[in-house]
Amino acid sequence: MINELMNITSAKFKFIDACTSVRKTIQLLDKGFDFFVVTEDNSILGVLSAKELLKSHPNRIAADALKSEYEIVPSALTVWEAYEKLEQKPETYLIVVDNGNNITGIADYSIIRFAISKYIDPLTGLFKSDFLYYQGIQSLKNHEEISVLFLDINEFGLINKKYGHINGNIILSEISSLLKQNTPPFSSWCRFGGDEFAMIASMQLEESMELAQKIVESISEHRFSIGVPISVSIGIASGRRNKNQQLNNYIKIINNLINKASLESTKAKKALTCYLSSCGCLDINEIA
Amino acid sequence: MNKYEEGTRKVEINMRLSEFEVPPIQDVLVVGKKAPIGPEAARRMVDVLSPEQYDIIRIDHPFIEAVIIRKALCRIISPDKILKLIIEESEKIMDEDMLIKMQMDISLNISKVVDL
Repeated sequence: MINELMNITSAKFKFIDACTSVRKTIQLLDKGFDFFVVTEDNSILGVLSAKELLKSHPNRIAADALKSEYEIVPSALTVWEAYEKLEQKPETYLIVVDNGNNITGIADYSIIRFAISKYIDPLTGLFKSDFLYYQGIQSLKNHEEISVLFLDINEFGLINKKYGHINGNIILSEISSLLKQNTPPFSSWCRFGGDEFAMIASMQLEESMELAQKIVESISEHRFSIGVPISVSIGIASGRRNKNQQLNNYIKIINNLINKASLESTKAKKALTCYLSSCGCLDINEIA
Repeated sequence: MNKYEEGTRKVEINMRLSEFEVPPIQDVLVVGKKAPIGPEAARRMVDVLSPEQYDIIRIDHPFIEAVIIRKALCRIISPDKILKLIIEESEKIMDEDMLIKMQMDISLNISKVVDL
């Protein structure tokens, strides 16, 4: 569900001395090595890949071909955490170490992006539901209160039947854009299922209600390209934790909150005036 | 059947001797971004041949990567001013594949008037 770096990094790397020539290092690419960890006096100077090697004069030494930065990270780092790091600095290499501080692999932005692409919904460009668990665990670890928003498109089955599934896909795509536009940068919506979207954020209940209201309104006011008015319902489940109490089963808590929010979205459909419903703020220690 | 006479083959040898310059880079070395020797290799070379006599200044330029300059020059003129001069002249003649060696003579003329 949440892939760790140890499963995706390239183990085909080799240690080379800072004075090794670029020419000799390029020859090592043919032997199947993807990355070279450049060292001097037992310390790491940086990482080289074909990208830097092919840009450098073959006569240069490895220390002169180094351009990028590197960061040493534990192998238990999740792909999402790695993605967040490299999105800010895509030129950085991640040197992955195990518990004994031994280097087990190297990852760069292209490897991480490839791994992440499996979690991106191709139609909407939003993350798939796996991301919710990563977001949820991070929020639960770092914050006292979190909220799950669960969005469902009203009468989507009928729309598909009346206007066809291609037009249904256009609606899904436009709603995804509206969600991206109306959501604060620190949180992201995921495509949960067919016409369902969900988000977990470190927000208090009131804040998440305001955000849900804003999204419901922006979708109602939007002129969809197929010329049909669309409305959505959002269910909200918030949870507050006592930070002094240890939590063990994060996945169970997140599942419980998603489930409650989805039930609230069904209730919201019946509340025809605002399409919003919340089960209030729950005690996380009780649902754990 | 024709007979062939064997010809002669001679080799001419010319020798040119001159003193090896220490340090070999004189006053300034301007390193292009794709030059065969990078600033790190140049640093190692000057550190071995002339320890503590040169500074390496990495610069942000479209095709110049670094300037290696004799420290003594920077004591006479500020590094910023001298660097500006070096880049101004180097970029007119070099490209990213080149290394330029530069000799720089600085004369300081002082004139003072004293009361008799």
